[in-house]
Amino acid sequence: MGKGLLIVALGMSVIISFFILKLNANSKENLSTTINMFEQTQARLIANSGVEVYLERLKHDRSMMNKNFPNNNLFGGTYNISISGPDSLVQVTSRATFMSVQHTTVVEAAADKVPLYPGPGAMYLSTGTVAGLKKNAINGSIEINGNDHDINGNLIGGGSSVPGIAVDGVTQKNSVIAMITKNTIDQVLGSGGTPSVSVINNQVDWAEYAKLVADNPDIIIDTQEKVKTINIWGTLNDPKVTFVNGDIKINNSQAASGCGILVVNGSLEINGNFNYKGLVIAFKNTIIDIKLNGNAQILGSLVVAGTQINVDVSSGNFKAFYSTEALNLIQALLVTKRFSILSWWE
Amino acid sequence: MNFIMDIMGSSLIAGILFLLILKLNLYSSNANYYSDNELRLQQNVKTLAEVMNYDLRKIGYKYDGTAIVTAEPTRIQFFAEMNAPGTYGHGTVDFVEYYLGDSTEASATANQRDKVLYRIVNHTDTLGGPTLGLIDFRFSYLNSKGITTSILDSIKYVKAEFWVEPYEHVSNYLTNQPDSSQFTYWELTINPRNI
Repeated sequence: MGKGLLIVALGMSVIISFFILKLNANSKENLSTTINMFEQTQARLIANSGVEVYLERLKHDRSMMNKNFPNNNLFGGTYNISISGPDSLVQVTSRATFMSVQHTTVVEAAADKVPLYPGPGAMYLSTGTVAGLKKNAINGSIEINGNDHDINGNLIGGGSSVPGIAVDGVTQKNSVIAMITKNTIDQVLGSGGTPSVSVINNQVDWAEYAKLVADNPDIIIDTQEKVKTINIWGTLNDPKVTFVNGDIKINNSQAASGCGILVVNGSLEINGNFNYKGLVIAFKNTIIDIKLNGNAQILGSLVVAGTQINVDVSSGNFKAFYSTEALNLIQALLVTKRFSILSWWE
Repeated sequence: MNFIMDIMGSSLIAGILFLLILKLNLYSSNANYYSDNELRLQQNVKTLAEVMNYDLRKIGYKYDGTAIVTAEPTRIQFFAEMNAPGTYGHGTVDFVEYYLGDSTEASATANQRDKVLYRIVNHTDTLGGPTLGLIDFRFSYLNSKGITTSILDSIKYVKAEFWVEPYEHVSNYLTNQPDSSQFTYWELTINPRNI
């Protein structure tokens, strides 16, 4: 009887063991099905991210063209990158491996340069800037001239003209005219009569444009310590993109001159001499505060799409002259802003 | 007398043990079958998801213009180059169509509700394949804000949902009736990068 029971018990144990093993095998297989889907997804995401990473790097370093970049690590996997082609048709191939699952992504892209948008006037004031204008925002010995000037600031006879001050609407125009009339500023010249304050149809998102232009600047002024006694932010032979980011002051014992594109995000207070040739864009929460005890000249165009501008000249003078010659100089500075994707295989 | 009592007692115990083993065997067979079915369900639905994932990500690849031609709940037609760069056939844009057949086309399976999902490339290359237990399939189309749209050139996301059941329903162990509660649902929302 005892033996019989033992045999029965052993038999049942064997049956149950097989049963459990079978269920366990199914469970493992089920899990591996799910995990495999995850691995495929992860491999695809790594390959795609690799393309994004290297297109961004290529934007700043064109020597990466026609090269391979193997064994990059990301998210626990690896990817190999191969870049080929001219600027007009860049092919980036990314082969990713994650937990032995492979995925290939092939992307074709074209380098897309930042377009040149010359300012619409010698000075452009956005609606937001006009709304923040103080009563004496522009005051003192000031000349804003929308007639075309050469690179030395001389008037070009018969040249094209733009408004001295360009604004977005009639309300803004009236505000600006009221302010300059009150402060007896009679040197706002350019197209549309005197004072040359005109409504223009602005199609440019200057804040976005400023960000594109300043994406990879040559000079960054983000602390007061970077402002020296003499500051040179580009020359006629070597124009630069300068990005002033933060609250910066050029005091009356300092001077700054430059050529190229100057993008300002923050508060720029100018007391000392300032001479710039090219395009100056102030955006975001920028406050341009020019309290001159010297001379300041912007030759090209000044675009104020920030919060506020104050030009208070107690001694010396401030000149903003439109110059196509100065603006043409900056064409070469405009870098590849991004790669526009032509096709994406994944 | 004792001998007879021993025989009867041991027979009773043996009978009970026999019934227990029989019941255990039935239960294990049923559970095995159920488990196998579940595994097959999972694998089938993953196969469908892989096919969908592969094809829908190609929508608009190497095609200029509005790539999606038809956007209906059970039918999608689109242009895309389906051959990978560097492989044979790459360079010609294909016209791809997916649509869901009806349950009469899968009469060989015991499940009366399963349907065939058709994939047609360039109007000729028809791939119906097995049903894989697919009983329903739904496409929905979303714009860049994630809102359902029927405007073809506004479509930025394609959502595919599918419901899969076993080919044959498992009989319920207790009621012995086909148990239809076993099914798998899968959804994926794809943002084809070329549209």
